[in-house]
Amino acid sequence: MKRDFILWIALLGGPIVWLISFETNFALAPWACIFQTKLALHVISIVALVLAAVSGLLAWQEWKGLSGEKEDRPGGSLPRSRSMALGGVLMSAMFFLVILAQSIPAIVLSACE
Amino acid sequence: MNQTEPIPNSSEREAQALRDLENSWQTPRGMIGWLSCTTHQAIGMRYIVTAFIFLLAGGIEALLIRLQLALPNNTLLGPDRYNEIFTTHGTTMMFLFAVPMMEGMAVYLVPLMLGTRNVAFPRLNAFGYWIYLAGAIFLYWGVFTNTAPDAGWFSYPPLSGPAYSPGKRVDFWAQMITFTEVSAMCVASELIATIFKMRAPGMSLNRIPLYCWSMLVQSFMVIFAMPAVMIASSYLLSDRTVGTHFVNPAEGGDPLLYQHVFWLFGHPEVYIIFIPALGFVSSIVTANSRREIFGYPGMVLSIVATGFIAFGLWVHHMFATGLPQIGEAYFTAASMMIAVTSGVQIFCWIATLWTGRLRMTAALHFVFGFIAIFVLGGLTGVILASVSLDVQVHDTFFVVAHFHYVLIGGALFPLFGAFYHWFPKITGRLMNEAVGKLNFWILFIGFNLTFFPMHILGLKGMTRRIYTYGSEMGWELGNILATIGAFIIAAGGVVFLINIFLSRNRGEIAGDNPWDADSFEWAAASPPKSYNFEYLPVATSRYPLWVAASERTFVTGLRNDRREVLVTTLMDAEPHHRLVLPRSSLWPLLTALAVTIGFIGSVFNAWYITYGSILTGLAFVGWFWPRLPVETKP
Ligand code: HEM
Ligand SMILES: [Cu+2]
Repeated sequence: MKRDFILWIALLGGPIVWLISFETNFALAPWACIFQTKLALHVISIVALVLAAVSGLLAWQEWKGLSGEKEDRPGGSLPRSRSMALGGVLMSAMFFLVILAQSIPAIVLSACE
Repeated sequence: MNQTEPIPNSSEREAQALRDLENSWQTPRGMIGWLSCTTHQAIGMRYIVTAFIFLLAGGIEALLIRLQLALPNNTLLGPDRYNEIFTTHGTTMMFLFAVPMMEGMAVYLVPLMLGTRNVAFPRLNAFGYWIYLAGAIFLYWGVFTNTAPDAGWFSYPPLSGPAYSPGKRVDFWAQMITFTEVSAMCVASELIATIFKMRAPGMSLNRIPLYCWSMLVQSFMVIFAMPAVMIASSYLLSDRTVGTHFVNPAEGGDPLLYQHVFWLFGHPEVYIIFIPALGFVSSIVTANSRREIFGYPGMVLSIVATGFIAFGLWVHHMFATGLPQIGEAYFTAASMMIAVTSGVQIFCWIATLWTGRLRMTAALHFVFGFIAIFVLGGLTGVILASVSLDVQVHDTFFVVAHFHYVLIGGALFPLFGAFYHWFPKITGRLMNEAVGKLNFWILFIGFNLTFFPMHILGLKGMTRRIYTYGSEMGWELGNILATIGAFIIAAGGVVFLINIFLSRNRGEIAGDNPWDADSFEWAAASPPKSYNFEYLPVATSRYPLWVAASERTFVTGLRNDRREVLVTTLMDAEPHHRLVLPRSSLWPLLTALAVTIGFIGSVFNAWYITYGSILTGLAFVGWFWPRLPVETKP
């Protein structure tokens, strides 16, 4: 049960972190001009990148743990857990990239363009 | 419940079991029976047929548009009529054809593919269909009484507000939205429950057919996206009918708010139409390359990722509204990233096709057409994702060309492929393959002839939604080509209909599994019995029908004298408990009528919301009236 929970986090952590960070950044973009600082945007991007990386590492760890395990009975949950863990690694990587791509605008554009 | 017992072959018990199943799943005869039906095959078919009729209606409107634009200074349709027709075309195609068609195909196919007997909420399913039908009739009632919506398929205020759109036209549009969205939400919630909890034992998450994965993701998208458009249309409706100030700038409302909320739905909408089509493609590719799909995990992940990223794109429809540049750039980034996930899928299909033993069926032709068109449409999409280019071609025929490439190439071609692929399952007879291939080539040529010139027209400055243009613009050639193309598409449609009608009566008998395909729907009879499977199958592999027949197992121990199905666990699909599904019922229809009275009435008089709620409440009492779970007699 606990493992299943971790696997879901690993799988959906990346996209959820991305969604939240991106919506917050979008909402804060006009304020960057008003306060003449892009600090908040950068901070959110960095936090999101860290969280996406954490969910990726979590998935990676699960995956390594699972590849050592033996199937206890035919039709058990091992193959499914392995695919979820591997999926978690890939999903987190993908959304790490999306967050990264979205952190570029705040770097290259000025606050009031 | 023993899931590994071989089928008992005592023929007497067998015959009795079949009679019981037949009895408990049959729909009563006659009109009342028809109206109270709750089996997924019947309701799925109703969705499919109704949505197809609206494809024809939308197609006729498209022909009228093209006739009007064929020549400069044409007077076939006046400006007002033209507004009505392009709006009705867009609205019909998106809300009355594309989404309901995808829902209907899923209602029909998903329970079969999962190896179960019905969707999880059969009465909700029936209710959803009636609501859709009511909304569709409502819109076309307007169309035939000079009240067709005329403010574009997204009805932006202030144009659609009370000041510039007096009369009831926009109200009909807004309320039709409410109907179709309620219906889509019904299907989405029942599909999620079905896919999560009613899979064949053994069908763990990593064995779900890709089509069902795509419907799962699509259903979640419906649940998150549809409320947004209902809110948008309700803002609009209440601004118009009871004078609220949500989105009406004359009263201090914010029209940009409308755009945000609408596109928060509108962009995912494109994927709501397109993701099921990806599922069709995966099924057709697997069956016709006769090998396991390449990169199944990658496919699943990219469908899921697409489902998420689709919610981060909406502002790319609003690049011309002057939002802060940093904000816009987030959407450019996300719009480019979504190309990665589509790329993964295209790559996996090509790898599968490349290494498989291809059988060039008509369905596969449509898949190849899809891949070709979709790549082009995707390219123009990436162009539009860049703010500077988008502002240049915004609201020109370049955009019209782009979204038809995506919608027709990305959804209609796979859909036609799906018709050819599953027609034998639905009717028991094969469609004529030669005519099918002819059908494909006519559509493919007609499609490109219609929409390719529109890119050029757009670059030459022809804006969308204009009812005519002068001959000095240099737009004649492109327009006449597009009109000829549109009639070629129509000819393709006629060929398809002829093929359907001839094959239905005279086609070759298909048998259960004419394509030697891998998933459970092909284990059922063609056409499927009302209970789908005599014994629910067990999934021993991701491709359960490619397992040697001697190694396949079945579920025994379900009761046949009531509508029993097996509920399994979410992750590993282990048998959990038996569930008795409801039989036929008139209450979904009556509830839908009550809701319809409320919805339609409120367009004219806000008090109808109250009347409708009371009636609906009463209908719910009937619907939820406790009944004995054991229903031994029909
Ligand atoms: C059968 C072939 C089709 C043809 C020839 C066609 C033609 C057109 C044309 C010329 C327009 C632009 C009208 C204008 O801006 O003045 C248009 C708009 C549109 N079409 Fe199609 N179309 C076809 C099929 C479809 C399909 C299958 C869909 C969706 C699934 C669709 C969705 C739309 C939408 C959403 C609009 C925008 C309406 C608006 O501007 O409000 N069309 N179509
Ligand atoms: Cu979009």
